[in-house]
Amino acid sequence: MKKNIIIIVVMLLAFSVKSQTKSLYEDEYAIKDAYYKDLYNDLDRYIGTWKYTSGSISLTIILQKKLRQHVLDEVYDFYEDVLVGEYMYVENGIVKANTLSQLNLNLNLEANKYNIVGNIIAGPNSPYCLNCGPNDRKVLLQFIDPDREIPGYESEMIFQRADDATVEKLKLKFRTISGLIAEVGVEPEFTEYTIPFGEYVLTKVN
Amino acid sequence: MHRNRPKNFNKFIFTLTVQTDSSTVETFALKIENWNYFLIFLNSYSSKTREELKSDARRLAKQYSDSSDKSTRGYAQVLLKYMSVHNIKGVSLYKAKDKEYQSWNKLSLDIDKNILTEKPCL
Repeated sequence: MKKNIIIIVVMLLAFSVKSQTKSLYEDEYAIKDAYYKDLYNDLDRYIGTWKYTSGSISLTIILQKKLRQHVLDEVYDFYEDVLVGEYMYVENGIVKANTLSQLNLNLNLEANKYNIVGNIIAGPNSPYCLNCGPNDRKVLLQFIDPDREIPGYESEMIFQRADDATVEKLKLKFRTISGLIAEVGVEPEFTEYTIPFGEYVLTKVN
Repeated sequence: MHRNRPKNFNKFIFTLTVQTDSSTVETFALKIENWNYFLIFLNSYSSKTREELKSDARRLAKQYSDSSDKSTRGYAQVLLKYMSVHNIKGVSLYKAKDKEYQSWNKLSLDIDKNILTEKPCL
């Protein structure tokens, strides 16, 4: 019995040396072999199929949580829980963008390849969450438009749960955090992504 | 004796030597070209929130992983693009052309065309 306990302790110690579990709230990022885990399941509240409809416009976003994704390349070697997502944007019955099928691809070890990805959580003490209550959280995700690369733009999707009494809702603020870079005298091809910047309130449909 | 003399930060360089394969070593240098511009960057960086810093780190990680050029040249391109987008001025990137560090190329990025250029220092 005593021998078994010693073996278990040694195994636990070996595992803790190999992979140090850290919260997503840690300030640091990408320490070698660390596992940035969603310890408080904050990301779970954003999982699902969410839809915004206004007039002839609809925006559908599907968000999934991926556990223990290994970020491994020439620079990085660590693990993390992340939210990943894809979207469909329809205007006047015409599908302007649809990346939802990307969720069916096996990108388990390449979470950064999804068009919506991230795991930055902002709580009540954050400038991102100034009017938040003690249990409110926002999650900051990166966004990529596979059809439009706009020089200088680094876009960001900020999600916050905004449920009312009967319906689960998600507030989305979609914006760029940096300015357009354009050659003097040359009209840029695009100044917005297929999804226009702005605020959307999406309803959970699945 | 020189303690009170103002420092000339333009003479500071930070070098980084990387082994890219078993027989190749490359050396890069970051040099402060304009202290005032660099100070603006330092002040803006130090006032960034935890979320902004993590977001920057994630973006760089994604750009590195998305880059088709995994050589040091590709990484330099990602870094210079990041510096341009975030308006980081006052610091330049150089690459040594010889093992004695006597000859250097200045690396710069044409942001419109996303092309990295190397120009010999005179």
